Amino acid sequence: MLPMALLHPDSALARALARGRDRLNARAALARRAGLAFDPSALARHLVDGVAPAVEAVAAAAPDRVDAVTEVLFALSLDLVAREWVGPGCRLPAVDAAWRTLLPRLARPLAEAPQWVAASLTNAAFHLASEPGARAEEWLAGLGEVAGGCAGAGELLAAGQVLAWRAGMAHLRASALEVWERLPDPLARATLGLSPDAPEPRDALRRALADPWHIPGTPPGPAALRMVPAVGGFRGFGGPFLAPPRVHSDGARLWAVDGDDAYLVHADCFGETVRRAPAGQPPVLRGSPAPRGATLELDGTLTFRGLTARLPELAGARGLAAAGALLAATRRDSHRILLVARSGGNA
Amino acid sequence: MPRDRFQQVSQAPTRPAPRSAEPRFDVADLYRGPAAAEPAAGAAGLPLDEKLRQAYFWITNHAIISPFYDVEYNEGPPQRFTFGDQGVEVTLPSDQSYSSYVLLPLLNLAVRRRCLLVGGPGRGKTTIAVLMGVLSGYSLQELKRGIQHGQPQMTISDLLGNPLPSSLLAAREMEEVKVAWRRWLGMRVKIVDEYNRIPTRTQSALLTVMADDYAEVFDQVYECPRAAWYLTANDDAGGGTYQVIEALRDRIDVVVKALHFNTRFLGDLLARVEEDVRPEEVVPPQIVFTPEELDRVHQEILAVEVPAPLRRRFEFFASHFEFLEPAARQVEYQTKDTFKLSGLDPAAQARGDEGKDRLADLGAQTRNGLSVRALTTSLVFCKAMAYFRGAAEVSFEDVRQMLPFVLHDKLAQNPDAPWFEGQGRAAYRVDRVSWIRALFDLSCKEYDRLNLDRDDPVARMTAEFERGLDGLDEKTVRQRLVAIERTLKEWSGGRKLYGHLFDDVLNLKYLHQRYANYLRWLKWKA
Repeated sequence: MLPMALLHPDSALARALARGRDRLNARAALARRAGLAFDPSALARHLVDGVAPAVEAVAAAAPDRVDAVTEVLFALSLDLVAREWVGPGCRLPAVDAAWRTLLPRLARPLAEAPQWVAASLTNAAFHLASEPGARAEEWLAGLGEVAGGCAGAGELLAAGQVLAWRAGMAHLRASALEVWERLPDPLARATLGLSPDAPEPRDALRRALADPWHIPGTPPGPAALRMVPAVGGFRGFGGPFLAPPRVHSDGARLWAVDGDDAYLVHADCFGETVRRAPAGQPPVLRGSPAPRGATLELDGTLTFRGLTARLPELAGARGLAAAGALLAATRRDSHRILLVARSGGNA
Repeated sequence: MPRDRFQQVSQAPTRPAPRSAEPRFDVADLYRGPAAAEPAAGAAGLPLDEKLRQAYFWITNHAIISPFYDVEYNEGPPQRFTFGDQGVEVTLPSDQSYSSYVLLPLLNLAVRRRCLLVGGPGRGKTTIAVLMGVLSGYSLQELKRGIQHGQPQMTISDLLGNPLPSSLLAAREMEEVKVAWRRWLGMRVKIVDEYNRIPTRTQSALLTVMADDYAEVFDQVYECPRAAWYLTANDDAGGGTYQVIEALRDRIDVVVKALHFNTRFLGDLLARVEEDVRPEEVVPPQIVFTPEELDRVHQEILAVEVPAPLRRRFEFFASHFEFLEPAARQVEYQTKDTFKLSGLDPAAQARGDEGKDRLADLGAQTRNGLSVRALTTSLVFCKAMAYFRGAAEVSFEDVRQMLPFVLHDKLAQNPDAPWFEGQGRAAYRVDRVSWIRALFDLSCKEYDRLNLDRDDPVARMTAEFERGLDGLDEKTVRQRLVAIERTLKEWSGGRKLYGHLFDDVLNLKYLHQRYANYLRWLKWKA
């Protein structure tokens, strides 16, 4: 069953498979008996395309770890091929791409902690691929670029967390910034898309990051109100909402309520997300007043935090809520949530 | 089961707790998902009580086929069904419940005590002990080489080590003799298989290691690290090839019976045979504890609180058993221990105790009381149980569930007590776990009947005393002395002296003496 014929006999994977043939074949047979329904030819193809490059890289960097890495990647592959996350015809190209293009660039951390690195990155690719609006390819490319500057598996995965936020997982901003604070300076710059030798001191970057609408490394722009991509949508078309949502604010967070379900809305310069809230109903419920100082005319002229702008997309919107420099608006006949950023100046 | 499925550890929390009111997305969730990612070594990741629970569930799901829930917890009233002529009750617990056979050895690992696994041959006693060793970081090879196998020819040297022949010849004094100590002495998990096959003389050497954590040969001493002990035996009555010396038996902290094999799970057994995978060889690294983690677990367990009202119930329970009125004329010596030390016929103790309701008197059901060691161990295991369930303080049910296993060999039953003659109670003569639990339930019932939560003069006076003597004037001290004397007078008026009252009387005597000494000092100072 093993794809010996597809692999070059002198390849690192082929030799590792030969050494562990009985054990790995037993694993595969037992996995099938336990109900993992993977296609053997898909597994074979994945081993060649998705596992062999990583094992080859590990063989060059840490030859004594080849067998351990092979065993871990093989075991994970059984499950992932059965799920159709990897291999030909996979449902999640981002996960497949993580194995084919990213893992081979991570030889040292993979050799150091194969289970931790491979499984974590697989799960991360899955989450990014599943999040509407998140940019999994950007994350894969970014992590591949910074990997060389990471001291070990721990730093690599921490960098991955920061990059995931920057790749559009806006709800992870607060938590990712805590991780960012613990990164060494060069890596901290690199994860923000800056050169590791960029001149901005850490404090300056920290201040820049305090404004969710300011892209670090760019000059601050003038204060302005601008539309941000809308979030939400009808559940039947892939969105989260069954009914047109109403938006609320508890001062710090934006909530969207759809019948009995509550969601949190996050947005910043890197992306927008709406996610089911971890803890049920928001503290501020129906009928909360409109944000102080925010007014919206029928034609879409919005006044918010001392700025006024005509935003035709907002024409006809009714419900308003704001948290910080982010304002949300909804229409009675729409499942989408319109977002406006108050960026620049004293946000 | 496939080898890789052995590597699966629960990703969901094993004791889901109500979420905090503050909703927040954690970037750590990015790496959680269907692919099992082990946390980084040394990273602040999983809380250790959660890791302990994960270890428990891994063992019950993949390693030991023990589909039993004899350690029962309930959130609301459980469903009960009655079977058979004896009216045996089968309960469906309404909260997370556990198999004692897996739980107790795991808790023993956490608190580093001594666990005796008893049961017929081939019931997995050694396997569970070896698993505990693997969980604490030892390799299978180290463990197997470290197991001490009890057998009639075992000598002290076999157990502890031999002097190096060259140093024996060259030494002029004992101190110069070098001993090649057995490697197992330095292990943090010690396994002794069939300890009741060890000759009596060698048992004494084992006792020193178990009790005092050191080994001595030729005047040389090896200090052993604190360890979790697992001893196995086919017989829990202390019999075997050699009678187990009482001091060694007394050092056992918890007794766990190997439960039978439920034949409905033969399919699982067949799969194990066919896969030829032994669970102890595939323990996932994410549930293996480092020595530092085990130290931390131990410290965290000790920090679990015992609420005062619950402690009071435990005190009341423990107070029933020691008192024996016929044993002496001096009240302090009226204990079963006095009687035992005198070598008199134990049946005589029953005859002298006339006038008391021997059905209601819980002390009549035992031949001994609880030692300090037994009480300490009980408290430690109750804390461990609460910790395992993720609680910051011990609950009533934690005490109720743990006491039977800790006191299993500590409370010597008096099977001739009239209580066992009651309908349906004969089985308690054999099922000591249920018996001790029933004793605790009866004790709590009596505690409630006496309304001791609300009306406990000794507790009041003790609390008053514990506020300190500094600053008390002579008048106040005299008032307190009078209060003690009045209480004793009231009690002495025709009231039968039962175990709990015995301890209360002595407590009041103690308080009286302390106040009296203080009064004498006040007068001297004046």
